[in-house]
Amino acid sequence: MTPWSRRIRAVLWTGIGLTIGVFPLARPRAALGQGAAVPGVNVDSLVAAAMAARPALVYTPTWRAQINGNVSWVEMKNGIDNKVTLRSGLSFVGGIRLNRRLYRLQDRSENQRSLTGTIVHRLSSGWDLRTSYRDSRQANRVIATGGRVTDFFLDTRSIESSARRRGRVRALRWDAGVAGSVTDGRFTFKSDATQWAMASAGARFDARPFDRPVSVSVRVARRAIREASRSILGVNVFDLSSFDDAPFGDLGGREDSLATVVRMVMRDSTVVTAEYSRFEGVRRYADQARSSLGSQIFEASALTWEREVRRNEAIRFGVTATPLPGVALSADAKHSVNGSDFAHEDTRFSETTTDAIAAEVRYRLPWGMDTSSKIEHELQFRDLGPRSVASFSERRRKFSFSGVQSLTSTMTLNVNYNTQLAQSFYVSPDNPRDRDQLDQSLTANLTGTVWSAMRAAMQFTWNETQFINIDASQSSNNRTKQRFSLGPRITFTLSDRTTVEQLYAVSVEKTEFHVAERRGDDTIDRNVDFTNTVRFRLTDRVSGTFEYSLNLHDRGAAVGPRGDVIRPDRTDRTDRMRMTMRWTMTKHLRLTMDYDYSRKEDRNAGGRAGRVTIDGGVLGGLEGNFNWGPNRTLRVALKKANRFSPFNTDLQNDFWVANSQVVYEF
Amino acid sequence: MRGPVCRRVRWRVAAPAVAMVAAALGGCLFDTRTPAPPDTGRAVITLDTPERAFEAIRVSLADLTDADYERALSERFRFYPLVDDSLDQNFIGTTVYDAWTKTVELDVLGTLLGESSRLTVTWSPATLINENTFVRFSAGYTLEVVSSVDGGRTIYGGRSEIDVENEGGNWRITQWRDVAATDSTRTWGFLRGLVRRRLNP
Repeated sequence: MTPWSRRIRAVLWTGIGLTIGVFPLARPRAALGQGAAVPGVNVDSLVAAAMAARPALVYTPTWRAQINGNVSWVEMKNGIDNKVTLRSGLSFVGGIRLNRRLYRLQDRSENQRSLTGTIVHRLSSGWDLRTSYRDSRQANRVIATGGRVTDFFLDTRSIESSARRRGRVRALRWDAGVAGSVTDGRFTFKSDATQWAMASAGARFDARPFDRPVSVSVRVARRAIREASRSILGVNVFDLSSFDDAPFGDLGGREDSLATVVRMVMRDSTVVTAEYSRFEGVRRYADQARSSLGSQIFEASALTWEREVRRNEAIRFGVTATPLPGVALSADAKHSVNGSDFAHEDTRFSETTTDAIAAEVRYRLPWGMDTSSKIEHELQFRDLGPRSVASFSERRRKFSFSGVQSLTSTMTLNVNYNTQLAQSFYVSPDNPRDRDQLDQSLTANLTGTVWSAMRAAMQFTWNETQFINIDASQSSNNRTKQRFSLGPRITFTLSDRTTVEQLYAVSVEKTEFHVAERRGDDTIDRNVDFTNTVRFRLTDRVSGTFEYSLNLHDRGAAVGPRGDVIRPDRTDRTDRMRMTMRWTMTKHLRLTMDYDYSRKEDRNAGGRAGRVTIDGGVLGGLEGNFNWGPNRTLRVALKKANRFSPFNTDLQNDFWVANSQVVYEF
Repeated sequence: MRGPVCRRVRWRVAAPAVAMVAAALGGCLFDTRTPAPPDTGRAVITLDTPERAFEAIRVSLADLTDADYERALSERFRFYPLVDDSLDQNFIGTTVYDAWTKTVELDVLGTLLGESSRLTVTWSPATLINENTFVRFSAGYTLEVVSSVDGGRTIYGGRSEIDVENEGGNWRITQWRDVAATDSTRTWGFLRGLVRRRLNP
């Protein structure tokens, strides 16, 4: 680093230090009257001095590079970031990226190039002004299997400016602003030019009628967008005269939105909120004609004008209250309508109307258990238009309960229960998909410290889902899926160098069909899992882990009067082992070794030995980590992998892993 | 507030809440409807090998039912679209592809099944990664959709990377990532986006 650059850095860090350290510490104390200003020291003058001490120009380039190789791909990433800051407050951040990835197992490659630049200039004299410029160029090339080349370009240049002013008149606070942007984009199939402008304003009024604080806020925003698009064939789709409904004329979009929020605080422990919001956007654009299922037809002659109206409207009402210590109540009600309407295409119409209500009680039971109970009811109608037979209404009810109980000073019990019923009712009698789905789950988790060196947890989980199709054409699939799981986790801290963790789990998954004709398809899967993990540190420089896990699984038909007896038709056992060793040789170099082994044995009905598959491998090598300060790092890894598996190719069994990453800020 | 009065008040508040729990557990609010006796049915697709997940989807679409499709998806299922599809003008200003979970996938599938008289998918999966409990396929596909409204026929096609994992003995799809389109058709992911936008305008 040159002396000139060192001086610049020293001055800059002094300025930053003063700004960050002195300014926030001094100003609040003086503002609160908790301390008198030290005679002769003026914070503003310090800040001004720090600002003045900043160099006229600071240029900080940072180089980033990566080379990564593994069994799947080899990739190179290169990039340089440039940051320029002027004393006036103007800053420029730009970067160039060149990425290339070659896949080793597929005939495929990807290239990415990007150039970005952003200029920001902010003034703070009552106004907040901002301008930014961005230029991004991205090119991807994918050579798919068979040699077909797919190019994807995404080049955009944009400039955006905004101005905002805030003010206050007695109890009325307001803000207003304008913003605008111009974007020029070039994509794979078309080029776009987009301009948008937006004006928004908001106000909030605070009052105390009846000695109760009430605030009312209103916000309004309007945005207009104009787009021009040119197809890859060089035809400006907006200049085409063959559209029948050309009166849509100026292609582009316009969005108008209005949002209103009313909030009233009835008393300190009760909050009543009422909110109304509305959004409507109209967008006109050239679109490709569509089939009945919405797929586009790729022909220039099939272009049509489209006028899309998007609208969202919602009314919400909510109450939260704390009537007693330890008791909190809340309730919410909502009505909303969201929709999209298209003037030309009638296959995409969509409107969803939602009415929902929810209530929640949070309280502490007399024996000290913190609980929460919530019940929700929602009715939703999804209208997909006259061309669709899939319009339906859905009724959803949900109840959830959670509780936390401290049993001792070191032992806690968590309980959660949820149940939800979703019922769908299709409008068209030709659609036979009316369905009920009932989901229930119960989780109990007991955690505690048995003694200082031993922590234990016990978890029980039960899930059940009932799928009930109403129509005769679908009801043969009606079924109940259940899953139980129970298991403890124990952690022993044998010493500050050795920890042993053991996990046991028993789980049962059962699918039971409701109709007698399908009982033969009822199945039970049973799993027993055991995992033992030892983490050790032999010396300050050598550490490792040893993990062994066992899974015993069997599956079979669920028989017996209650379907809870299994007639196994298949069993399997999976043994896994994983070992890692880390030797920190020097401050910057580390030797690593990972070994894994997996054996899976399948047995058929009657216990006859079936297929045995074994895979595993070793991955070992050196890792280097060099650090010369902030944003100056070099990380390298060179490892050799040798694997074995009946499914692998030679390339997958013997390969090198080589990674390197350089980040250097000049 | 402390003492016996406080405890009585808390009990009064707690009692309705406990009653609410009891009512919910009792099921009076969550009774399901009574279905009609079935007139058709076929054997379930067992998910005992990774490739069976593709078969379950194929059969489910062919039958215009969603049972096997639902069983073939993991609760952790996520779908990621092609970049070209997410930048399509149909989805400007929307977040149509965000947080595409199993629930979203089944909602979209339900609408597609309802609006189709025939759904035929053909797969050509090739294995990229194969481990004891995890397989990644590079799967080419074509999906033929025939509208139940006007009989219109549309072909979608492309290639996806599909992860299938062994979950408690069943091979289920955990991730579906579109990686390429074909020259002449849009992808299945594009169709998904169109349907979801109609469900969430």
